[in-house]
Amino acid sequence: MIVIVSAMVRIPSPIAQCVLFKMPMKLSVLHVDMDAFFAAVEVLDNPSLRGKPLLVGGTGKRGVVSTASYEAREFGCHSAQPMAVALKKCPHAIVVSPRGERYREKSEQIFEIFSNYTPSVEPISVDEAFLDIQGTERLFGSPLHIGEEIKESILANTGLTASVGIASNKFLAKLSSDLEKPDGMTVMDQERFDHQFPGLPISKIWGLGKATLIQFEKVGVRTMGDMRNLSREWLVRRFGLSGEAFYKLCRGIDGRVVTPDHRAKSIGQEQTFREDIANPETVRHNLLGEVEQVGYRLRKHKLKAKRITLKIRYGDFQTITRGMTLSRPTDSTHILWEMAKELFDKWVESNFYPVRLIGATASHFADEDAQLEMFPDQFAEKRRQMDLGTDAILEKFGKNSIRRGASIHRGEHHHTDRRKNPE
Amino acid sequence: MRGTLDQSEFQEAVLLVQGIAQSKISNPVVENVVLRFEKERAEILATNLSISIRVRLGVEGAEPGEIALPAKLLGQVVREIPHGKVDLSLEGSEFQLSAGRSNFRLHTISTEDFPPFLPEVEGPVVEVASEIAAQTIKRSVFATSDERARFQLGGIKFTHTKGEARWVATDGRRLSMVKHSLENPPAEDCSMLIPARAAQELMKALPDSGNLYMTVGDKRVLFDCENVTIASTLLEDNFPPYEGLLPSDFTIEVRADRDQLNAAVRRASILASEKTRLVHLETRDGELIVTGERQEAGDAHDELDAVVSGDPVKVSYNASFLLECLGAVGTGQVVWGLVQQGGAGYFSREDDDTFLHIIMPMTVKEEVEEEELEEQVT
Repeated sequence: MIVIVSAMVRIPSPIAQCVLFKMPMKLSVLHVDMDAFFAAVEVLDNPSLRGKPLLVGGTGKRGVVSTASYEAREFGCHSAQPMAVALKKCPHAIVVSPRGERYREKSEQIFEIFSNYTPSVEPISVDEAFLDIQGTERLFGSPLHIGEEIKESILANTGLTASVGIASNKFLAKLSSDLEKPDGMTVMDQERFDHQFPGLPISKIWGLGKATLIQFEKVGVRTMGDMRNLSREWLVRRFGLSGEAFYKLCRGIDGRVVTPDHRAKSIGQEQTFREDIANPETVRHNLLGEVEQVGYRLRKHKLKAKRITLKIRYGDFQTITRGMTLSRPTDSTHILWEMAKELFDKWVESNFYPVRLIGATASHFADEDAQLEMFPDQFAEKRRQMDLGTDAILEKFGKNSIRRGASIHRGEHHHTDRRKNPE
Repeated sequence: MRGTLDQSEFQEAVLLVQGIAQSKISNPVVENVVLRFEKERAEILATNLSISIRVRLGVEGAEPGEIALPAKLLGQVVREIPHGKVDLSLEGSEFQLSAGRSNFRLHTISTEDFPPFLPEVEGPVVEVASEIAAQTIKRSVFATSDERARFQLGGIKFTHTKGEARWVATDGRRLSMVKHSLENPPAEDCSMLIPARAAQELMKALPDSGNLYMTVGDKRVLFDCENVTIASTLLEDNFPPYEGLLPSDFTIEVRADRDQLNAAVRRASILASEKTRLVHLETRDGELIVTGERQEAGDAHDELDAVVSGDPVKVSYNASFLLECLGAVGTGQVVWGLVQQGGAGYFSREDDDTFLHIIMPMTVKEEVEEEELEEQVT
């Protein structure tokens, strides 16, 4: 009898191979991050602001800093900080309200430049993107050369500076662009990876938040090098899936590829109010406006969602979420609003507190399934026509040009801060 | 307030009302049940504001009075208390339950804050044998929809027309219809849309013998049987016009053994895609073939004898729908009929013209494996 024994050999991924077998790292990913983007655009349009501490963000009582200029950062100001706190740290800072339209305009110019170099651009936000530059060397030269050309081109076309990180994967590229900000250019080659990377603080890992950082500090782990001393088992036991990711990331391993048409997992809209809103009706009106936006964006992206989630934050910073799943996916504003309304009204009925933030998110995107229906939904076509009509007007005249009857808000606008998640 | 109850009767009654007395944050008082003693009988009542229930049971040595107790706690106590006689008495605000050498003292609350339990309902009274009613609900209620956006499908549509009763439930993808004649029909025709939840509670309460009396009002219905009375608000009757779906003549008809078909579908469903739950029924001369396949796992193939008339056909259905339908069809020869290729499938039993189930087919799409998005660390 002949027995064939086949050994299971797991071939490490190319990136892992580089690390394991010291193969030269292939510099294939570029991360471009604009320097203090909103603030820089403001300075560009108003040169008298140059060299001054500048805060772009909400000016109301509950305002949040969107971007702090580098001059303001020296005083300890940073984005996502309450404006009141930032102004305490830097009382003489100049505060400017954000001008979304203008930033988008600039952003479009920048992405236009990216597309000259590679079709594989993954936007992270208006001022940040990954570029996959594999196979472009013959056309544009070395990765370093491409990086420099992109920086120059951005400056020449928009008058703004960017920081670029070049590495073998997304994680290292993003981390690199941050190392020499502003106007930086960092290549994470083998030498830098061997010498500088192990000494970098683990806070450079995306998604490693404050709470996790403290847990690591407790066991004396501060740098990537420290983290490498922890076993995979320990990390997984402690942090689950994230632990597995940490194990790889502190070794510079990241298998995520640059996905140009980055598929969103959810579409949401939220608003922070200047003051806590004690009238449920007012909150409801704002929620309807959000649901309309979410519906519009779903249809624009040809997505259908099976789940809608509300996020409610009340005065004392408590945040709750309430969700509902549908048996069939939808992009109808009417159906989304029916769900959102029910969730909201239930919360109001059970325990209403004055609301500081309200948000609506659609997720669990799915195709309409193959199950045939018995009764044609007599209202479906009507709803679809109504949505199409509304969308056309929104496209032409902008966000607040059309609202459902119930969402027209009487009195002042309460929102100060509208944030979208990446689409 | 004082009296003696039988433990098993008491437990059964508490079990029935407990399901209704569920948490409603808007009115926490309804998490309690009310215990009421009259001279000759005891009553246990509960409500969730849309459905109310009253169970009556015999009591010995009763001194009248009423109190409210937390439903869940009472359920636990009554289940564990020794069998036989249970002596109950109210001492101050404490309620005492003693059986054998076990003794419980429970805090009570006043019954004043309770909403009224059983409203007056006026309308025709429909009398149905309890056993038939239970079976009818069982064969239809599973086809209701629990989707809140289509609440009009969340109930059973009951219609009485000239001595014939018809119960129909659908979630828009399948439909169950049960018909039977009434022995003592009311003079008027009537109809109502019974919430699925009320129907389920009623099914639990229906005794094996005796009659159910349904008083069909405009907004409410009252169900009365033996010791139990249930009142429920009715759903606004926007039930879809299903009559057009009822079959005329089948162009394709297949007869097979229900048990064999059921087993074959179960086997095929092991390999049905988890997402679509799709299985296929295919006819050949004298055979019915049931298959299921899942791209990443493999496929299943089952054959059974069948009497086939009409053109060969292959139809895909949701396996869960098929299994629930076959369960309701019951043991015997099942008839699967199609009016046209690609249309609805009609399921019934050869010797039973009281039950019909309709399932819409699924269109088969090539399954494209969705690329798993890698778990984002951010």
